[in-house]
Amino acid sequence: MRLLINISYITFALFLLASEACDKIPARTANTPDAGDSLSSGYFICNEGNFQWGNATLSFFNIKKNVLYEDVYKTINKKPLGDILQSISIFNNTAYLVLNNSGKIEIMSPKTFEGRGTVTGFRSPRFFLGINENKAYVSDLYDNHIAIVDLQQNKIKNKIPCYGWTEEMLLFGSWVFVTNKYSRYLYIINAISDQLTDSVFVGYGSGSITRDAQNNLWILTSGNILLSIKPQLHRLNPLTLRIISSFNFATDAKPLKLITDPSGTHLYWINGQIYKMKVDALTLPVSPWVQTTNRNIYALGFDKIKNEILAADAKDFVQQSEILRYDSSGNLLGSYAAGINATYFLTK
Amino acid sequence: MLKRFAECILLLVLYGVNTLTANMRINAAPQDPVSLINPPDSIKTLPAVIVPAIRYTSFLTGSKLEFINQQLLDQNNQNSLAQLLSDHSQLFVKSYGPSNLASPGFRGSNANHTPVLWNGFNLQSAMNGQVDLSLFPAFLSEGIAIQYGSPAALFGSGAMGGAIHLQSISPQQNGLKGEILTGMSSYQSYSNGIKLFYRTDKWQLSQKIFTQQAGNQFAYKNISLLQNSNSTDFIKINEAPTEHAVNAGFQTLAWMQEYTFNPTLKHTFILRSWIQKNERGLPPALNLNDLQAHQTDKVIRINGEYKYIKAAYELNFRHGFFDDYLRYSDKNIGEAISRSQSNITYLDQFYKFSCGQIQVSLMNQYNVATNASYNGLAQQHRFAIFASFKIFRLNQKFQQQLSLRQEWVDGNPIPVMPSYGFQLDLNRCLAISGNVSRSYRLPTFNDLYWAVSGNPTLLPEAGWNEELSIKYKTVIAKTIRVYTTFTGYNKNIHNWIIWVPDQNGNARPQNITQVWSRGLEADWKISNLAGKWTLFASGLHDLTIATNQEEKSVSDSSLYKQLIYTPRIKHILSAGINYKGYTLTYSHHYTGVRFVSTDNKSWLLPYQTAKISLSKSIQVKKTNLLIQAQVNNLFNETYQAIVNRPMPLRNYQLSINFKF
Repeated sequence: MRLLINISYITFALFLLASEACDKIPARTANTPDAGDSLSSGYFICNEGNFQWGNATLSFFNIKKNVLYEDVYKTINKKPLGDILQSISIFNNTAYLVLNNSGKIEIMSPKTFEGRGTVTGFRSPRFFLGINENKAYVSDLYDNHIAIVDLQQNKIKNKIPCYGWTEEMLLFGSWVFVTNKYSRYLYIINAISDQLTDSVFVGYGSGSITRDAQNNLWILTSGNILLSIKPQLHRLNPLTLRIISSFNFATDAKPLKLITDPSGTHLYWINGQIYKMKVDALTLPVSPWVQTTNRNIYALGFDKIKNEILAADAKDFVQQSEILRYDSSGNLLGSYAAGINATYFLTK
Repeated sequence: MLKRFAECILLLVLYGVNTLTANMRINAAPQDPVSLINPPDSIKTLPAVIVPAIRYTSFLTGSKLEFINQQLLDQNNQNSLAQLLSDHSQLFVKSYGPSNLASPGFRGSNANHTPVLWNGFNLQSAMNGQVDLSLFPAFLSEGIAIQYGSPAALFGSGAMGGAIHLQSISPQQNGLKGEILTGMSSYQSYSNGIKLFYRTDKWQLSQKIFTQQAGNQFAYKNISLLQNSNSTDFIKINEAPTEHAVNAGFQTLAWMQEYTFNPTLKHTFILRSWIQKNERGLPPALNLNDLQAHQTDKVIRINGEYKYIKAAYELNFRHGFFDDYLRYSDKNIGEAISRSQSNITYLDQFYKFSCGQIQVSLMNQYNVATNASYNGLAQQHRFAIFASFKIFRLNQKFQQQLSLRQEWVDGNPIPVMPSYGFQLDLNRCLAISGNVSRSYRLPTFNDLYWAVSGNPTLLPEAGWNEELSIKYKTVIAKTIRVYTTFTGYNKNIHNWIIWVPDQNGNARPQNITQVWSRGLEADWKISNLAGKWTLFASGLHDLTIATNQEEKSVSDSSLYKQLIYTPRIKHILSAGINYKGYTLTYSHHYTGVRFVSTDNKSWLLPYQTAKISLSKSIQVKKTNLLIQAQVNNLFNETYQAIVNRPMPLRNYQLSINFKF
């Protein structure tokens, strides 16, 4: 009995010690970008983080050194970015970081990563589109407006009514084409008068827009499975506003994140796997360009310096993303880890 | 540092107890563990402690049970179950802040695995499988028991990690009894409650009303406590600005009734109802825009019961109706309303014989729910038959129990759920108990029917639990009472359902995770009655390792990593002194690292909080007045249970409780 009791208390003491040993905090390491780093030799990765966790980060990959610098904004500016880093845009030698759930845009030097101010007052901003040195447009998930930002004062100076979830935008001449995920139309804004002037029927849920080498626009829609509306890919002549060709996906397909390669001759998108199509193709590709089974590909981009295609695997969306590098033939060249939920790439 | 100091004190105390024990003859009868929780003086001055009558209480052999005693209930009569259980049990409560969503986690399980049972009826939402502990006022219960391990064979789906039992207990004496509570706390919080009990030889009536309202503009430090493996920045809490919560106000109104009629000794009829309405603002996470989010919860819970007892036979027929209404609104999405109703019927039969007991039960349950995100009405029918057989050996010193449950969901059988438990009393002081059980959790309506995302092909989660406890209790030198329990457990859950977002950001539930939880728990309580002085101390210590055992995707870095929001260690130490009705209690709470990314590369630092309370109990004849003041978060710790959801800095509570 006495032995048993002694064993019990010794076990308890060991248990307390073991619990202390088991709760070690993981080791931490940081790599701070060198002062000489510049955007000319790298690309940014927007890691949106998790909704309401305030863990959005901006990564920078230095191509010359082949080194990834994580959370560069916080490292340089000593404050976290915010919640859900949706996109980044560089305009007039200034980077604009759109923090969706923080309702703000952080302004940063793309060379030194030093903060240059904040634009606040958005409801749920998505993408930034520089129009001229004085103004930019910002799309929004809930606001039912496109915000006009005064780039001299870094303030919202006006809004253009546009009902629904406005998403990616593209400037063509003096026209801004606005996708809308809650509408069947692509909207057109006169960037001089800031007026919504026209629209093109493209089917439900346009979210991606890009331009090819022949100056035609490509628009990808999500469709609506509840309404049995198929996702579609359209080629649009931006001058005549006529759709040149349309491609239908299966009703249950979920294509997204359409981009063109730097030459503007090929399209890439995600539909479970990664797909590639020539801009003059007559049909959608039957087979994926790269099989990414058992991955959650969440973003596509280009390393324009090395001419590599980048894809982000978000895995379970609660851990670091894996950035996959492919050559133009679809061969996997390597991978590395970035922040949580890498959602957007930007190379200069 | 403080934590280490406390552990050293604890070890010294235990060493002392051990030495004393080794040299003394054990000369007292074993005490009921519940009575040991209370210091003897408090037994003199407070109403007698009654062990809550947990449903199927005789058939929980081998399961670890922890009781929240009347003294703790009195200390927390202004609080919700969220704060009570967070401060006084081994549960980890994932709290989004005071009065905000708070969900329980047991032994590495999540909120879906922990039912709250009110008189044996499971209150988990049929829609999301969860309970929000912040919506349960502690004042409404006279007994709370926490059952560890899986009681799935008896309580069905969802009871995978443990269960929280709420009981209403009426006084045993005829006549009118009652209790009046009034309290106030920091941040414009006011609580009022009244309980009335009336008992005759044939009738027992009870009425309980509780109201609470608070502006709840609690103070906190505006700083992210999130840590990353790729950052070496240190958190500078002192430099962070102090701010006050916005849109955090709440109002609660609860009314509970119970009517019991005993026309003869053989027959008992009981009718209970619990109606409650909560209105609350949902404050934004740190540095986010205030969306003016608001939530209204309305619940109607009614159950009726008929008992027939004749000699060793007991029949129990009960029916419960549960109606949950939830309205959420914010500036972005407008409003969303959901409503679910459940009708549950049980028929229990018990029979005792000289060396054992038998229980055979039937359950019939019909759930229905509506939500704008469902395609129409979601419905589910469950039927179950379950039985337990318990035998005693060695003059009742060795108890064994076997339970089996077969359930059908919409006519489809789910696997049989067996459970085996034992308890062996080695002598008057030492006992060993253990349990092996299978457990399951059915997919919720949201899992199955959420528009586009719902996955009707989901399988139930299933698992096995094993636990072994050693209990030791004794009285030393006639005045020092010691009670200790050491428990080791192991649990495997397969087909764990998690919502995984797809590339469009739409989450979809999948049966993709396997989780292995294992751990050790230690509880101890010591009290020493020395003349008019009573000293008492207790500790709860928990080590939980809960890891993901399956790769969910290519090169998944979450493999073999600790689950998120599952602290590996938790310690609670309490000590107090009682003298002539004055009770001074100090408790210290330590919660270890909580990872917030599945690859364990992001985490929240450990935190420790302390609280101190001073109460005075004045007894005049059969009435008792308890005046209590309490300081929470005594050392002004800045901490977050959930990322960017700040918890309040030091705050105060004052309450007056009159029992007659």
